[in-house]
Amino acid sequence: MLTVLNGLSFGFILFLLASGLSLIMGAMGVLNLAHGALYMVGAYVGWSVAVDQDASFLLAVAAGAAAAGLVGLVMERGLFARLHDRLDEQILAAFGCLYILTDLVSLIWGPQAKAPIDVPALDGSVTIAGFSYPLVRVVIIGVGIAFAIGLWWLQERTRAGAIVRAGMDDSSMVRAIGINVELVVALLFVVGAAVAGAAGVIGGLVLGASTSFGIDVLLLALIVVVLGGVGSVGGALAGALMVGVVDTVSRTELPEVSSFTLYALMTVVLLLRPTGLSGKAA
Amino acid sequence: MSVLELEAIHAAYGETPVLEGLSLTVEPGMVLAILGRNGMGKTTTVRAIAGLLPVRRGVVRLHGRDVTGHSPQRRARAGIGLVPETRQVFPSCTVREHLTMAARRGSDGAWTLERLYDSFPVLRTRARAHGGELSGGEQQMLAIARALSTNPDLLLLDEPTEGLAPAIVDDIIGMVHRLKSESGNAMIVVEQNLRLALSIADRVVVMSKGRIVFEGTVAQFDAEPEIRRRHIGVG
Repeated sequence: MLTVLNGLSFGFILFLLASGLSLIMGAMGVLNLAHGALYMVGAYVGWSVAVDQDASFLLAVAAGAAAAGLVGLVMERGLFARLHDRLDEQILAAFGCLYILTDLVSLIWGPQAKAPIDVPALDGSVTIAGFSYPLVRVVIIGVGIAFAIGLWWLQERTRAGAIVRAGMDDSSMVRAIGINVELVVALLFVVGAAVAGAAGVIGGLVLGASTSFGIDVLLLALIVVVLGGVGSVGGALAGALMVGVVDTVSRTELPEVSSFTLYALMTVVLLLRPTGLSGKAA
Repeated sequence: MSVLELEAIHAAYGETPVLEGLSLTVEPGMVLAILGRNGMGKTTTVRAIAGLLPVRRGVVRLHGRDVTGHSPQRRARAGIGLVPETRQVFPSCTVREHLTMAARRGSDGAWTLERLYDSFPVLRTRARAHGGELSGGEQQMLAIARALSTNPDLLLLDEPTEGLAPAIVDDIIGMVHRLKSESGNAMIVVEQNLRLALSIADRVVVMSKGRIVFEGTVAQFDAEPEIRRRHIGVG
C-alpha cells in the first residue's frame, strides 16, 4: 500500500508537469523539449530558497514558479514567437534550451544532486485505514488533486479554457472571430512554464534536485502525454497516475524489469487506444 | 462610405494565382452574391477579405481604412464576420461557448446571447452540446450565430446551404432573409443555390478564373442568359 501511495504522489508531481506540456503541445502544435528543464530550474531555485535561505516552503514554491515562468517568457518571446509555423526550428530551439539550462544550472549549483528538501512541518505521518503514511506524500497528493480540479475547471468551464480548446481544434477560425491566438498561446506557455517550476519545487520534497532532471522528467512527461493524448487535462491526469504507480511499484517489486515496464505499459495502451486514453488524435 | 472595397487584389496559393486583379465594393446594408463555377476563386475571395489568405497586390479597405496587411483578428474586430464554407465549428466547445467566446464589438442593439438564442431556437435547446455532436444544419446555424456574436458590419456567408437536406436549406434561406430585413447587415453570399442567391441579393458578381466577368443588379443578371449559361451552367 505504501508503494502505491508513493506511486500516486509521484504521479501527481508528473501531472503538474505533463498537463502543461500536453496543453502547450495541443495549442502550439510543437513539443517543448525544454519543459523538463523548466521543472529542473524550479527544483534548484526552490531548493536554494528553502534550504540555502531557510525560507518558508511556500515562498520556495513561489520562487521556483516565478523563475521557471520568467525563463519560459524569455523562451517564448525570444524564440518560439519568432519561429511561428516553423516546427522543425521550434523543436531544435527547445532542444538547445534544454542543454543551455542544464549547463547553467550545473554552473550555478554544481553537478552534485541535491537532497530532498526537508520541511519540518511536513515531517511525521498520518494513519489512514490502519496504515501509516508519510505526511509529505499525503500533502503532495492533496495539492495534486486540488490542482487537477482547478485546471479542469479552468479548461472546461471558463472562456479562457474554451479559447484554448477552440485553438487546438482550429486556430485560424479562432482568429477569424477576433481573438488574438498568439497572445493566448504565449500566456499558456508562460503559465505552463511556471507550473512546471512549481512542480519542480514540490517534487523536491521527495526527489531533491538533479541536473539529469531536464531529460529524465521530460521522458516521463512525454510518456504521460503519449498515454493520455495531446491537449487533454483528464488524459494527462490518468496517464500521470498510471506512470507514477507503475514505475514506482515495478521499481520496488520487480526491480530487474523496471527499466522497461513503462514502455510495456505504453505499448499496451497504444495497442488498445491508438490515440491515447483521452481518444484525441495527436 | 462603403463597408468594403477590394481594389485590384491578387492572391495565390503557393505559386498558383487564384485572384487576378479583383475589384468590388459593398455598400452598407447591401447583399452581394458571388456566383461562378467551382474553382473560380469565390471562396478565395472570402478568405482574402477575412485576412486568412494574404493579398499579394492591391488594397482591401474596410470603412475606407486600408486593412490589407491586417491579421484576421484585427479584421474581425473591424467588423468582418466569417461563416466559412466548411462551417469550422469547434468540436471540443459547447454551443454556448461558441457564442460567448468571440471578442464582441459595440453594445447597443448588439447580438447578445439571448438575442442569438431567440433568432436560432435550435441553439438554445442544444446549448450544452459540443460542436462535434451537432447535425449539419445545426452546425450551419451555429457557424452563422458565431459570426453574428462578433456584431459584424459585413457578414461573409460561404456556401451556407452546401450539403444540407432540402428542408434545412429552406430554414437557412429563411434565416438569411430575416437577417437581411431585421439586422440590415451588409452581406457577401457565395452560393451554388441560385434560388437563394438571386432571392436575397441586391447585386450579383460572376467570377471566372479569378476575375469578375459580370457585375450588376439581379435584373441585369436575369437579362443576360448567356452569362448564366457560360459561367454558372444551370437554368
